[in-house]
Amino acid sequence: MKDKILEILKDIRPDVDYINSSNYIEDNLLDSFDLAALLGDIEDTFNIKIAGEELNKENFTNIDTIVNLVKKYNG
Amino acid sequence: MFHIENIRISQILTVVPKVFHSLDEEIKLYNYPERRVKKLENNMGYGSHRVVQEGITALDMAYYGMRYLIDNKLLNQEDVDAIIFISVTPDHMVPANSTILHGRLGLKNNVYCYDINQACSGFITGLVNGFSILNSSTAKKVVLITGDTLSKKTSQYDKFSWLLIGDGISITVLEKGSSTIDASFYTQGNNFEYLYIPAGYARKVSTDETRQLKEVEDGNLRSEEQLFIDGLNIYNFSLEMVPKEIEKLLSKSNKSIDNIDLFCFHQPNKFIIKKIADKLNIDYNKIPFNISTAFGNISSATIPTVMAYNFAEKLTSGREFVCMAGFGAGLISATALMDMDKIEYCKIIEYENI
Repeated sequence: MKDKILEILKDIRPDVDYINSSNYIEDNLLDSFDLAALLGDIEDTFNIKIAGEELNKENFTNIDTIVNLVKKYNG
Repeated sequence: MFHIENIRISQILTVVPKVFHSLDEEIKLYNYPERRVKKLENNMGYGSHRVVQEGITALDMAYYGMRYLIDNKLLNQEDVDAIIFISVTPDHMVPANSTILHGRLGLKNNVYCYDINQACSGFITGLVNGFSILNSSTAKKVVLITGDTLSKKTSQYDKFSWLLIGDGISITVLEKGSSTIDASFYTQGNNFEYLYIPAGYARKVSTDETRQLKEVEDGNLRSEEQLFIDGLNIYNFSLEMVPKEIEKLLSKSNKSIDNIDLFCFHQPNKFIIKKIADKLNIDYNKIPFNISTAFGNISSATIPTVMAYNFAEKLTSGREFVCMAGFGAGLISATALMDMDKIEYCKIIEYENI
């Protein structure tokens, strides 16, 4: 799951080191356009629907928080 | 909650500029990778947006639309008893746009005129104000004008705001009738800085410094006198509060999502509307996502434009039960359920200099 999510992130911004970055939002590694794209791609890849209110800084801080969010919906 | 009876919308006319800017062309300003542009189109629904030519304002478009209605004998100017102009881009801070419009149209002197400073939630605020006038006075027709020329207060070099916004206004004629509306408002004023223009008026007056374009987040350029949008926090607010407010209003009105024929929501982008629709289990056939693609986010003109662009035939043919939601600057989430009698006229026209 983690690799798939990293692949999605890389597809959005290939130039960013998402593994070693600890705060995607504070460090401007994901903007509001990217977050909408990321959420859409995650939903398509894992065939899940993530509730809109999950789109917050806490859930998209780094790869681990995103994995935890997806796990919540993906069992 | 507001509950107002014995009223109706009789006409809706949206006026938009002829000139549209396409995402494909504009994105070149930002050195934005093509792959990400495609995602913007698919996820956000950005396509093109309408922008006025230099020197044209929301007031000019309102005058054009009013002349169109009067000259085509769709509205008798003697019947207009009130004008409510809702805009955050008035011609002047003093006096109100509504009074200037009154003068340009040469309306009778006992017309009640006032402006309201509201953006995305302005249409529902306007309906509540207009219907309240009808139910507490001898007024026969209230003209509600909603909309903006946000392009004048937005930096072209700030992709997070420029690509979203569009210019346009709607004229909605309100009368006594057999419709009813339930409406409620949720305000989160402590978060006003998530969507605002920091300077240029009384709190921080205009100076060379506030007018200067400065590099802000992600290489964008913006002055303090231009619109700032904190995208993530606006997502949070919209996606959390709008569904909750709709559910609350449905419950108070003893209705369910299944009772609604049409959903006419403000449209900052397709992503937010789809997420709200998913949360509320709204059938996609009942809720359009196309305004941000065709016109951009046209502020308080969006909801009536959703009606005119998507549901004109239905609304001019018979009664419909409509759910509306407007949300944004304030922060405000406004929600309404309206059992709408047939509208006489519902159309979109393009502005031409007159």
